[in-house]
Amino acid sequence: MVSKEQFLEDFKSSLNIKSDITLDTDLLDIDEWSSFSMVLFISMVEEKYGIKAEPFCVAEAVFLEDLYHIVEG
Amino acid sequence: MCRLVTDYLDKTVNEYPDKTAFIDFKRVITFQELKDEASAIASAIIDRNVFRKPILLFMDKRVSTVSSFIGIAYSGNFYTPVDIKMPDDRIGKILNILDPAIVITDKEHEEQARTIFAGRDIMVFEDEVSRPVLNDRITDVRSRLTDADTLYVFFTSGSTGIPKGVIISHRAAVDYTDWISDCYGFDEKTVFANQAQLYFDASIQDIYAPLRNGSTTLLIPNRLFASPVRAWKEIIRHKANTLFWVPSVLCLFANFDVLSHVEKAPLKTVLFCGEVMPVKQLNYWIENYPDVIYANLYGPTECTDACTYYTIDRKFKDNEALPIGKPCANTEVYVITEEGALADRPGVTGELYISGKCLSDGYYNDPEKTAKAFLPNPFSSNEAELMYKTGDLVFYNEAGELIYVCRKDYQVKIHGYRVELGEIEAAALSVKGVDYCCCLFDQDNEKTILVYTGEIGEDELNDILKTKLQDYMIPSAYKHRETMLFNNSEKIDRIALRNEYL
Repeated sequence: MVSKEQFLEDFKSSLNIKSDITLDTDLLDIDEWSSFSMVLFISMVEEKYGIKAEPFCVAEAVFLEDLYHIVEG
Repeated sequence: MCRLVTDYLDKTVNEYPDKTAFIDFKRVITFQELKDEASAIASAIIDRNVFRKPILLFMDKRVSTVSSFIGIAYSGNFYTPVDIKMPDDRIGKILNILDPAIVITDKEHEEQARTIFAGRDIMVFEDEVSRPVLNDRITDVRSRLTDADTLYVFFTSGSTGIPKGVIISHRAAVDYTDWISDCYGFDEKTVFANQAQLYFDASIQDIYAPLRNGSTTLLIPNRLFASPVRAWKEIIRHKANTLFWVPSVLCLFANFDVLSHVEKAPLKTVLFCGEVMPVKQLNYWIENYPDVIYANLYGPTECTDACTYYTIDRKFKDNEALPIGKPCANTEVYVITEEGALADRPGVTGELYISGKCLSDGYYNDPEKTAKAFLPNPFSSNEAELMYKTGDLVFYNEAGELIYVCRKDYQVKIHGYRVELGEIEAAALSVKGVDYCCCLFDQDNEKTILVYTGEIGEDELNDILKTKLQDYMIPSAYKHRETMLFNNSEKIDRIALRNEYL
């Protein structure tokens, strides 16, 4: 299972995020989060964790924690 | 009869004073309130003795921006909105061309504006919106205006790196708003969910159709589209029934399978314009909303917004091209071959030229570029009439509908064969596992490069394209990307992709 810390680190590095974020952060408060980074996120979790994320689950995520739940299973 | 866009509001405010005109995420404005705010802004401008001059708007997509548009129009001036995130270098180029008499901003962006526009007359919306209205002077200005007066100047990118300011008159905006309202039956029950930025021509009906018809427009912050389900919830909450969106955003909802998972919206009409709508994603929308009216509209900024249209009236296979249809009212189109002949038979490709009321009055302060793009119309009995050279290649199908092929610049020769890059893109987009693509041409080596996003691997895509395209059209190379690059207009950024791959 992916730890929260590891997930945060991977998320920040895949989207090149410099600001401080936590699992409670609203995705819309992350400047780097865009409709196109949703695609990037799907690729990242497949590549790093071997998880095939449902596109809709990414589209409905509000907080970073919602994305963590996808990899947490 | 309305000749100016402000005439629309003068009429509608009497019919629907307390009806909601515009909604943003901070406030709601009725038609009466809109008229009051616009009149106050107009009074502030008139008080500065500014008339028939450009006014630059440095504000986000908000109700107050719309009030400012209308206020500027009441004052007899014309507006140019710019993106608050626009790079300083580009703003500088626009300032050089436009030299605005006033910059209007709001409290939120005042500090930023005072730095960027130092030395210019800056008006802050909140400071002016409660001032006394000078009704007599607004009436006096109205009596001096004609429908040939400029309403706005929108800047588009120029191939030389210098932006072009497209001049649009009241007449063109009114003509377009009348046509689209009548064609798609917009009325006081219509609720637009605006997606386009207000500095982009795809927003014109979202602003002026409410003024004409008493409709309502929900201004969705563009940031919200990074969370499509939340954007959709706003559409549901405000009972929006009409979308005029760019295809990339419609594709986003299809590619993330949003529509089949969320509550149904009371959609009646979905219109798209600005780039090619892939049929695969359109079919997804039709599957989820089979009773909605869908239409493919076409038009460059130089023709106000849309100048041809096709209302979907039959089924299309994923690899078929959607027609761009026929001209809108008061518009004439001409398809002219390389030899200069009219291509009015099916299947003959030529460049599209447009004339009619929709036409721009040229590029602001740029007579040279204007003369190159707006030519005398040899097919008109009116010697003064001009036609716009679009640079787009089209042909008529057997049904007499115009089919868009590609930009003239995208028609290339490979080993003597004429190849349209758009055809390669259409074939790739019809493949399952391709979300976005862009075909680039390497002139020096006569090679095509297909840049794409999606789940499919390069080898598999190549194998499938071999079954769909002539051998000389198969891309020479594939570049898979995690995400596609888009420009400010949310279209695929071909220039940036060229810079990256060629």
